[in-house]
Amino acid sequence: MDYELFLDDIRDAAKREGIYLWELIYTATDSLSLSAYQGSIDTFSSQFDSMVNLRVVLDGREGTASADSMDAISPEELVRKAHEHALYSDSQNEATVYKGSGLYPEKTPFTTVRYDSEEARKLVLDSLGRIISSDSRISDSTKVYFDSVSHTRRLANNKGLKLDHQAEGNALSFSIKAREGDEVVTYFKSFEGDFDSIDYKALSQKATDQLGAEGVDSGEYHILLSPRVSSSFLSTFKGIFSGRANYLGLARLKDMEGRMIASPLFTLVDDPLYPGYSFQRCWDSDGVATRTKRIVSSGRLETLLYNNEWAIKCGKKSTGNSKRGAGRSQISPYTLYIEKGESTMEELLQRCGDGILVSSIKGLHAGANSVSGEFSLEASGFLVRGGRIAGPVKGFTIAGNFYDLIGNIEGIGNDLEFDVTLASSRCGSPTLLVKGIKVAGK
Amino acid sequence: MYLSEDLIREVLLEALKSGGDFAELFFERTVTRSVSIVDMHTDSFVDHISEGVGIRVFKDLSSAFSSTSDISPSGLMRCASNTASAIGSGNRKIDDLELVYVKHEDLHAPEFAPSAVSLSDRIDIVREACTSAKEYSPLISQVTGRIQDNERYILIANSNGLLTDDMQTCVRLAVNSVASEKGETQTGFQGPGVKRGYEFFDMYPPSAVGIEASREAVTKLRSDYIAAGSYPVVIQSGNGGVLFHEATGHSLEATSVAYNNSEFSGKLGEQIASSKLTAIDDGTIPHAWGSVNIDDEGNPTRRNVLIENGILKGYMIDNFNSRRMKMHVTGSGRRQTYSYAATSRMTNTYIAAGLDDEKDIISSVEKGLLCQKLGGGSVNPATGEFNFSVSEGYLIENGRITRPIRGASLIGKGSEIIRNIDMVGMNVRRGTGMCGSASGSIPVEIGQPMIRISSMTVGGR
Repeated sequence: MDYELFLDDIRDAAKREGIYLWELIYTATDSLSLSAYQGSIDTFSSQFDSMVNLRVVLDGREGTASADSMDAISPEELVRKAHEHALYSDSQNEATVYKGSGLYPEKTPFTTVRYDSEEARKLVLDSLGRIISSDSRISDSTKVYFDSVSHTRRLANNKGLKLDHQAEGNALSFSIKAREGDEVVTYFKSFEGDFDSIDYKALSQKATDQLGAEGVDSGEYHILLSPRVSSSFLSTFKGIFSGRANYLGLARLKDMEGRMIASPLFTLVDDPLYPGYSFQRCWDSDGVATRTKRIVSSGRLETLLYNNEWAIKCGKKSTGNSKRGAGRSQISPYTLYIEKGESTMEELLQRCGDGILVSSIKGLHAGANSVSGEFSLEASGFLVRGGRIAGPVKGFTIAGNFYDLIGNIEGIGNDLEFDVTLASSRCGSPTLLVKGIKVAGK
Repeated sequence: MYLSEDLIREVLLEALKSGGDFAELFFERTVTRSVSIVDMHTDSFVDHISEGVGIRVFKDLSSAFSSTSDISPSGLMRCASNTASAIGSGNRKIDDLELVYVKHEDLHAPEFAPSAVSLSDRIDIVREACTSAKEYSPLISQVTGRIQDNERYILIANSNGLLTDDMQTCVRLAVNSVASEKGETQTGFQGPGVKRGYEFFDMYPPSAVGIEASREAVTKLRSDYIAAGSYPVVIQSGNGGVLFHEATGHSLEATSVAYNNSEFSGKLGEQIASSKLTAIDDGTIPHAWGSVNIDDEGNPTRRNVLIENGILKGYMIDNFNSRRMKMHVTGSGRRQTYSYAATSRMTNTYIAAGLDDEKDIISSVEKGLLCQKLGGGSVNPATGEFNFSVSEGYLIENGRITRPIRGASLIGKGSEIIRNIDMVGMNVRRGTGMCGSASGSIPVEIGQPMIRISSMTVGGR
C-alpha cells in the first residue's frame, strides 16, 4: 500500500476513534549480503524489511501498535490496537506528540560507493584470493563477506510534522583462520567505505600474530585496551548514560551532572553528524533535531541522554536521542566515541612498561552486567615487557567494573577507530591505558 | 492459507528458472504481543504483526536467499526472480510442479491461546510477578517485568513437492530484579517460557518467577569475590546446561562442521568425551520452549543423540549443509523470522541422567565451586574456547556448601571439559534461553542433571 494513502487512512481512522494525537513512523531497509568461501560465492541474500509503527496519545497516555508492512494490517486495526494500549496504560510519564524543531541540521559531507550484485561478487572473490595468498598460514576455511544496506525512515504526525531520512553504506568483512600445525586462530575484521586501501599483508599478520599464544599468570596488570576492545566496552555499557536508566536506578549517574565521573583524560562525545559517516541522523524518532554533544568532558559529566518522554519526566530538554522500534521510544546514542588523545602506540607501550595489550574479548553479552557495571570476560592479546610487545597470550579473564575503568584511564592513544554497524548507532575509541584490572590466568 | 497453492507453485518455478536444483518458499505470519512493567507501572506495550516470505535456491554447493515483507503476487515474483538471478543466468522452462500437502500432529497445542487472553489479564500477570519480586526484600530497589507471547504461523513449500504448515504458540514471563545496598547493586533474573498457551501460569504462578529473580539479586549482594585459580566445578542441574550448549552444542551444528570449522569435524564414532556423558538434542518434547512440530525447512523435528557414553554419534544438520556433508537432515533447520535463511540450530539440548547422587557430588569436593546459575557465554566453534559468567555461585569447602561468591567466570575448551566430566547426577532439569547465531535469535532449552567437572579454570578477582 502507498505510504501517503496509508497516512490518510490513519488520519481518518484516528478521527473515528476519537484520537487527535498520533504519530506514524515508517522504516524500510534494502540489504544485500554475499560471502565467498574456497574460491566461490557460497551464500547470497537480498532482503527487503519494513515496519509501520503507530503511536497514539490519549490524555497524556501513550499506546503503540506495529506491523512489518502496510499490507499486513489495516489502518483501522492499527489504530484500534494502539488505542487499547493507551486506555490500559498507567504510566506516570506524560506522552506528547511533537510539533517539530523548525530547523534541522544538515548532514556533513560523505561519500558512498554503490556496488551492484555483480561488482559485489567480484569484490568478495578478489578479496578472498588476496587474503588467502598473503600468507601460507592463512587457511582455506577463511571467509569474506560483503554487506550493503539502504535505509529509509519517515515520520508524520497530526501536528503537520513530516520528516524523511535516507542512508546507505557497505561493509567488507573478513573471518580469517590461520593455522600452524594443530593450532587454529581466528581473526575478524570489518571495513566500511573505502576498500581499495585495505592492506592484506597487515590484515593476515593480525591473524598470524596470534599463533603460539601462551597463558599469563594471575595478578593485577597495567592494561592496554585496543580500540576494538574499548569500543565493545562502550557499546555494552552505553546504557549507563541514559536519563531513563538513571531515573529508574538502573545506572549510577543520577544527579551527577557537573561532577567528575571519570579520568580527566576521558571525553565522551555523541555525534549524530560525525563528519564523513554515511549513517548520520538529522532527527530522532520523536521528530526532535539531533545535535552533537559532549556527554563527559575531561572527566566531568555534562549531560545524560534524553528522549522527549524522559526529558519531561526529569525536567530536562530532549537531547534528540529517541529511538523507536516496536513499542515505546527508547534512548540511544548515535556515533558515541571517546575523543582521541596525543599518545602514539610506542608511547603508550613505554608507559605501560610491563603489562598486557588486550586485543580481543569475548562474552560481553553474558559476562558484563550493565546495571552493576561489573565485567568478567575471556580475553586474548599480547604481553608487554619493558615497553615492547612480547608474545601473544590467551585464555585469561579480565575483571573489573566499568565505572572504575573510566576513572582509571592513564593514557589515551591517537588511533581512534569505529566499529562497523551499517547503522546510525556505533561506538568508537582509541587505545586506552588502564591501571588496576584484575587478570585471572594460570 | 494466506497464499494460494497456484501462486506458491508459480513462485517456486520462477525461482528455479536460472538453473537452481532446489527452491524453497517460507511464509510466516507472527503476532507478537508483550506488556512490560517498570517501577510498578506499565511501560511498553507491543502488538506487532510480522509477515513476509523468504525464498531460497540451491545449486550444488551455492545457495541464494531473498526475503520480503511485500507478499503481493508481484512482490513474491520479484523476490523469486532476485533469488534466481543470484544463482545463475538463463530462463529454462520447467514442467509443472506437484505439491503434496503434509499435516503434522501438533504436540504443543495451547489450551488457552494468547489471542483469547485480554490485555488486562496480561497486565495482571506481570504485575503479580513484579509485586512479589518487590515485596521479597526491602533491598529490592527496582523491578522490571515483561510478558511476551507469539502466535507464529509458518508455511513451507519446496521443489521436492513438499507443502506443509504449522502453528507455533509460545509464552514467556521474565522478571529482572535489582537489589541495592550501600551504593552497590546486583541483579537477578528469572524467565521461564513454554511452547503452549496461558494455561502455563496454572502450573507456574507468576509470583514464583518474581520471587526467584529477587532471591538471586539479594543473594549476590551478600557474596564475596572468589580467588582466581583451578578448581573442581559442580554445575547445578537445569540452567547449567548452557555450558554444554555453548561449549559443545554449537560445535556440533552443521554450520560449523560442514565448513571444517569445528573441533569435532570428522570425528563421528570417536570417543570425544567422558564415558559418563550422553547428550541429546530433542525438538519433540511436548510443550518445551525449544520444541517445534516441524523445523523451518518443513522437516519433522526428532530426538537426535549427539554423544552416547562419550562417543560422538551425530551432528545437527540442515538442508543446505547436508549437501556439503553428504549426510541426512536431522530436523534442525531454524530461523528467527522469514528474513533469515534457515540453518542448523539446536532445539532442546540436554545431558542425559547419570548414576551419581547429588549429595555425593557435593560432598566429593574438598575445595571448589558450585555454579547454581550460569549467565550464558560464548564459544569459538573452531577452537572450542569458551567463556561463561557464573551469575550465582557458592563455594564448596570440605564437601559442604559454605558461602555465596560473585564475579566468577569459567573459561576453557569444549573438548577438554567434556572429557573432564567425572560425575553425573540422576535428575535432569531444563531451563529456558534464547540462542543467537547465524539465523537470528531463537528459543532453545538447555538442560542437565548436576555434573562435576574435575578441574576448570575459574576467573575471579
